Amino acid sequence: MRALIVEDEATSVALLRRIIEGMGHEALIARSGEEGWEAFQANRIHLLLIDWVLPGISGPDLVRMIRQKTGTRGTYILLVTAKADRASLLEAFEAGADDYLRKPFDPHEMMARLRVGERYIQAYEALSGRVADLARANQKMKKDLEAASKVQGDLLPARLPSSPSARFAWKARPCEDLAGDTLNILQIDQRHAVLYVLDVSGHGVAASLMSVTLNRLLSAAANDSLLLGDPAPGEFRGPPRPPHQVLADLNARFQMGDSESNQYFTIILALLDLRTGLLRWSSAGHPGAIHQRLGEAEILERPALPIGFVPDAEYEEHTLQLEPGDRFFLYSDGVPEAGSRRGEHYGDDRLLENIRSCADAPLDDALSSIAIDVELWSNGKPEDDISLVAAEWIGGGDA
Amino acid sequence: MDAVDDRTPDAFPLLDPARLEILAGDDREFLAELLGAFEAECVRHAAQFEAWAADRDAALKAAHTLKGASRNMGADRLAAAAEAFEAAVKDGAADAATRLAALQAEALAAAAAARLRRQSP
Repeated sequence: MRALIVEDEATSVALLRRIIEGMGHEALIARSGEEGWEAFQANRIHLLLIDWVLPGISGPDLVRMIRQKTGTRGTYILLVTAKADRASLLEAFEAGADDYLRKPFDPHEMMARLRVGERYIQAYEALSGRVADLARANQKMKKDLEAASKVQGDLLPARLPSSPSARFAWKARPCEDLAGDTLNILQIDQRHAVLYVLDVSGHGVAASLMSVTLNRLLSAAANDSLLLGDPAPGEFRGPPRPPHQVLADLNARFQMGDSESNQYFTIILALLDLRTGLLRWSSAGHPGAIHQRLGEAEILERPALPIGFVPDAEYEEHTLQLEPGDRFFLYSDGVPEAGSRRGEHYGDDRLLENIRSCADAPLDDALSSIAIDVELWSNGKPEDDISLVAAEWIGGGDA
Repeated sequence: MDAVDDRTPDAFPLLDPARLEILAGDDREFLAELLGAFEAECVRHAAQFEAWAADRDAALKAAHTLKGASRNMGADRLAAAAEAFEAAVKDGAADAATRLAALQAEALAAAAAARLRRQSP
């Protein structure tokens, strides 16, 4: 280690240098506060021994400069002084000194105190090394997470079903961790569209991987898609499966005890008949869908267990005949549970009010308005993912 | 000659041999370095006493430095003189000038004692 002795009096310099060198350290000497400041800036100093009364900058002022201007904690500072009063001792520590020793000092006591400094520096350096390692590892992990986050972003709907009888819209705002939410709107055959929002417990890599897996199982393209039944002989695609069966299948596949991550998820999934406007939907522990008709909006609470809790859970199917102008909203709990700075939830009432007030706005604008309002509510930093999916029935289908 | 007897440590009351033993043990080389440094401090300061008569702050700082050095070395008489001067200045005592003169004398005496000790085998 390297020690800097800031001392203008020759016998103290000789004594301190002998102690420092006797301990196997290098000793630099500065004979004034200014010289000490320069030497400190020019060298990595581990141990700093400073006399209180110096020509120019005083010992305590030098300690303050070092602590405040460089902010360093990697230097152990010991103030040495002939001052014997209590106020001086307190001032030394207040200035940022680690220890304080009165002159004349016993060389053995000085050595013992410097050993404390050595231990401090050793611990500090070991910790700094580990912090640097962690920072590197963290940097790498961050890159991986960004890649994962991009994969997830790619899974969001790129193209919405184009039907003259219905409009669709969605918004997704992942929180800072990797998202545990995923959503989709897809047309699975000539006549049907599927909408869903799901929320895997927790955030980060495990939740994200799970949501990617689920997104694939709930796609229209994959031939193992849970959304489609077995094709009839001669047919290429199978018929759409009822939402409650899809949920039951998911529940059979994803039981909490089966994986190490012990995850579960909530999902709300709706199947819309684009000819009739008949909506069939099921929920597994997910926040209730919102049905808006004319100026009114209500939450359709349908309590059920999340996927993964109980192996043979059954899920109910609910139906709703949409009228022209009706809107149907699905969302994740990140919306009503978004917390304000004071910890107050955004809440169902604000959500409903917002939906009602946007009734005349185009569907996509209405969702944007809700997403922005929730984001503002949580000061731009939502703690959970915000997912919104909506359908609007135009009608004119050949029911 | 009397000087022969003067070379035993006990004959140097201006420097505490017990203190020097603590500082240097049987490291004669280091002891010589220490004594040389002390002597130089004493001489350096004693040479500026005229200037200090006109500059109270400089005088106080010098007295403080001498006090530190003399306590290091167990030069108790010099330490006491430095303290007496500091106290006289702080109290605004009329005899500050006398104390300063006494401090100068003690500094020179301590320097001489350090030189003698250094030169003794």
